[in-house]
Order: sequence, then structure tokens, then C-alpha cells
Amino acid sequence: MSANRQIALEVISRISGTDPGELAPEQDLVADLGVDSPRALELLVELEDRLGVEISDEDAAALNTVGDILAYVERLGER
Amino acid sequence: MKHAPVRHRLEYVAYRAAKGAILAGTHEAARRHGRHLGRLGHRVMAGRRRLALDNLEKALPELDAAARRRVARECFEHYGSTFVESVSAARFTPEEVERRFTVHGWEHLEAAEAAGRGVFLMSGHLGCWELATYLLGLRLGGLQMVARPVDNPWVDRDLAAIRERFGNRIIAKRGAGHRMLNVLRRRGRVAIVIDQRVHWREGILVPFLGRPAWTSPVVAYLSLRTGAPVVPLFCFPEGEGGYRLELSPAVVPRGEGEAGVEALTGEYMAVVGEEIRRRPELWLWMHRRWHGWDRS
Repeated sequence: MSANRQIALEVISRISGTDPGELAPEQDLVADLGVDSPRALELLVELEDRLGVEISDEDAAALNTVGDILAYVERLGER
Repeated sequence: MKHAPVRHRLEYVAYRAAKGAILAGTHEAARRHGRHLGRLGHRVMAGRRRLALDNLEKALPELDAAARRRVARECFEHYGSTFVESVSAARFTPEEVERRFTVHGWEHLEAAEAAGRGVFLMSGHLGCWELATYLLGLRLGGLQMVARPVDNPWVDRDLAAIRERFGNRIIAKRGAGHRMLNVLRRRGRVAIVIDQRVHWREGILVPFLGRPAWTSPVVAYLSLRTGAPVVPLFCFPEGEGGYRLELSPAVVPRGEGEAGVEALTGEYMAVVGEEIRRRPELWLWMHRRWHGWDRS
């Protein structure tokens, strides 16, 4: 597992209160994991802090599921 | 558009007809007619009227029953005129915006911007908050505003075009938090009204006009995160068709963590509450602001 992926799973787990082993790519942050607006902001900010990036508005708007986030951070790792 | 519900189409037709009638007259007439519309709303919207009176009794117990009835009636009149004026103001040229506004406390905004962290321009549903963005956008070269879309997509598109004049841009409420963060990172300005009730899952409880109220913590969180000061500003009707914009010294972020967010949010609501006490007839009393306060 890549370092970025590990970080993303940790962040999603902490923010959503869901055990990492229970996270699945198809889970929607809001509908399935109950991440509300303030917590979604916190999630993005923590990802930025830990990955050392600033997420653009366009990229942030596309991060709706666990899979979206994992794919995004993997692409970051390939740059 | 051909798949839009019939109701939306009918609403849009009515809206366009009303807008045409408003723009056919003067802006001063729009304010007068808007107040008549609000007075009608006060008569027919019994549930909202009772809600306004109940909120007034709990928030401003020093008012007697006659005063509460007067304030409730005047707030309906004010909101009628605010709605009509927002549409009427579509005609304003930059010169007319400057002519109609008197501004007090602009130096507070300049001082806040000098910090170089971006700035929040914070108001409440008090007075003529929407129209203030015209003057601000004109003088600042545009700002970003958080706004909830109107349910009717056609009316919303028209209102958005009015709102996005003078360089202003709307930040949709969905995903607004991170968008605001990116604006502040670029030293931009974000205009926001902070006195709306939020769902208990998305808010924190802070005192507001004497009672706990669910309030968004996002502004405080971002202010602490970025160092962006929060400049309170309020806009009031003045004369027959003019406006008075008042800016106050910025609330500078201090503290940290959840305690810092709660303290700052409480401070913002105290500032808004103080302005409401000064001009209670200009606030949105018919809103369920304190709904769900007993849930945590």
C-alpha cells in the first residue's frame, strides 16, 4: 500500500469515525459515512496538511467517495 | 428547461412579470411597494407572524406586547421591501451605487486587508445585506459570496446574474468551506451571513440573543486556519432609496482547536445580536433560528 493511500485511509477513518477495515471505495462520504460539511472541510484540510498539497476547487468537488479520494492521492504520488 | 415542473414555469412567469413591473417604476417606488407587500404578508402569513412574535418575546423580553407587535409588523414590511429592492437594484449603474450609499468605517476593512491573510466580510439577515455586496464589489474589484440557490432554477439563474454584478461571484453552499479556504489563500474576500440556523449535525451551539442556537463553525475554523480577520458589516435603508453601510473593527482570530472555534463563533453571534438589538425591526424574526437547540 502506498504511503499516500495509507494517509488517506487514516484521515477518512478519523474524520468519519469508521474503522479503516470497513472503508470501501464505493462509499459516499456524505450518504454512507455521514461526513457533514464542516467535517468534509476538515478532511480536505487534513489531507492537504499531511500530503503537503493544496487541493484545487475542481479537484475538491470531485472527491465524493472513498474511491475518489484514494484515486486522487495515488495520482499525487505518481507526479 | 422542457422538463422543469409546471410550478417552476408558472413561478418564473410570475417572477418575470413582477420584475418588469418593478423596473418600470423608480427604485424609491419599489421600496414603498415592497413594504406594502410585506404588510400583506404580515396579515396573511399567520404562522410566520406567530413565530416572529414568539421569537421576539424570548429574545427581547424587555419589549411589551404592543412593541413586539409593532416590530413584527415592521420586519415583515422590511422584508417585503428588501426582496423587491433586490430585484429593482438590477438597474443600478456603478455611479448610482456610489450615489445611493453612505459608508462608515471603511478604514476597518482596509486595516483588516493589510494583514494580507484574506478577509471575511460578515453580516446577518439584517437590513439590506444583499445590496451591500454591490458597493463592496464595486470598490474591491469583486468578492466571493456564499449563497444558497433559490429552489426555482430559472429564477435562481436570474437572481444569480443580479448578484454577480460588479465582479462578485457566488460560492455555492455545497462544498463552500474548501472553496472559501482557497479564496482566502489567494488573499481574497469572502462575504457571508452567519446568523442562519444550521442542522445540528453541522453546527455548534452558541448563545444568540440569549438562547443557544445551532450555528456554523466554518467561518471561525477558517479564520483560525488562515489568520483571516472577520470584518462585521451591516447595511441599512436610509432615506427614500438610499443605504447606509457600517463596518466595524475586525474580529481577529485567536485561540485554537474546538475551544477557539466555539469562542470565535460566539463572538460573531454576539456582534450580530448587538446590531439586531439596535434595529430589531430589520431582522428576520419569522425564521426558526432556535429550532433544535435542545438537541446535542
